[in-house]
Amino acid sequence: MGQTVIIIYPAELVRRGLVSALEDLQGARIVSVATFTEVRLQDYAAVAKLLLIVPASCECTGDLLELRTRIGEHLLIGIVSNENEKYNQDTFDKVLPLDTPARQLRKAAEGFFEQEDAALNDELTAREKEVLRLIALGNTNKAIAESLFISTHTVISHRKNITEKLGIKSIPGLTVYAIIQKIVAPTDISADHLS
Amino acid sequence: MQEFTKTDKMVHLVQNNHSLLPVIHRFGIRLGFGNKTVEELCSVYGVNTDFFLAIVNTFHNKNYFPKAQLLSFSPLLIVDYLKKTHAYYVGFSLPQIEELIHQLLLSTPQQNSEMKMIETFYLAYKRKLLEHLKEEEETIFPYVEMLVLKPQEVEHRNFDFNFEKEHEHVDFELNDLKKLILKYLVPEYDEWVCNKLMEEIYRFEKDMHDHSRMEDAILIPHVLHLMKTAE
Repeated sequence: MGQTVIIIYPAELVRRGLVSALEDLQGARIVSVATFTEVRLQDYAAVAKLLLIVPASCECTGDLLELRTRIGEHLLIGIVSNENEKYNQDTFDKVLPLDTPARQLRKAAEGFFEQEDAALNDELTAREKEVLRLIALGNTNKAIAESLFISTHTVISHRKNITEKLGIKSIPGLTVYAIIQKIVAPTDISADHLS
Repeated sequence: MQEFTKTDKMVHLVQNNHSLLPVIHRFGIRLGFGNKTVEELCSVYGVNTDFFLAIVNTFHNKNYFPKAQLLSFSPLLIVDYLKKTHAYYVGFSLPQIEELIHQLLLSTPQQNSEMKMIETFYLAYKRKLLEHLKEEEETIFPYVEMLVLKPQEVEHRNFDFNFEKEHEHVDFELNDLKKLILKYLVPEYDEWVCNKLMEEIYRFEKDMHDHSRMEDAILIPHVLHLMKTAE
């Protein structure tokens, strides 16, 4: 599954407006629902790029954050419907007013989906970092697959990419890399993970 | 690349490739070569000249590996050489690298826990390698000696000769250590210590590679052959 847009917004009219603004966007699949509870996290585990649009004041911040840690690359846009609305700026990558022209919203989405594929350079993608974090914490492929809702096969292919990009092959080596890059904290690692 | 012969002066070997010195020392041959040839010095020290040359040339040239010739020597010679190589790693290379890594970290202003992980990584690597060397010394080497000297006393035992895999593992980790230092060390450090450390790691890596090749391609086939004849 490649690129997906998830629109979570209670007002149906707004949802429709957003859907039409983002239609036919580089083959991205659009999912539009009224509430967060209608989104099944595991359905999006294999998404490479996810654009998530929600009301900025939505009360699902915790769930959103959890979803974000599970998805490789994502852009979280909060929609503000009036000036007095209270929301946490840090939760979102971008906050747009409800009356943002459709064109502008589309542009933001295009910009995100068009971003150069991170696999082309040596940087790890967000997803690979997540896999690396779980490797460093001593998880098996099977455990990683289960916690990320992906197949073991996908985990193995992530591992292969990580090893190729970093040129580091051993698990202890990857663990130390993850610590140096602050992907995991040294205190999370027990000494025998290195052996 | 050239191949050394028994009529070469011993001093010529070291002048040509100074990393051969530890290998020469492993045979018990000491400096003060004078103008003596390889053959002359080998005879002074009671070393098998052909075996000495096979080992030295293998070490000198990574493309040179006279497998048939190496297999023709007594496994005892090979075990003896491998033991001395182990002693060199245990007594010199490993502690030396440990000390240099420690010094290198002390020289960085940010002695943070992230950088310290490099040292932890090395210590874990060293511990595993020592275990592996010990296993070889306590089980494989005595077994080979028994097979040669008292084959009638050897009980049929099924050895798991999966060393190649272990060697590969050890190889990976040493390579990872290099990568971690080269790519992620903080820029403020003592460059002399760093140069010395890297040189030592590369030297050790080469030595280990040679050593593993000797075990995988010579010692193990030897043992398998001996086991067959003992049956």
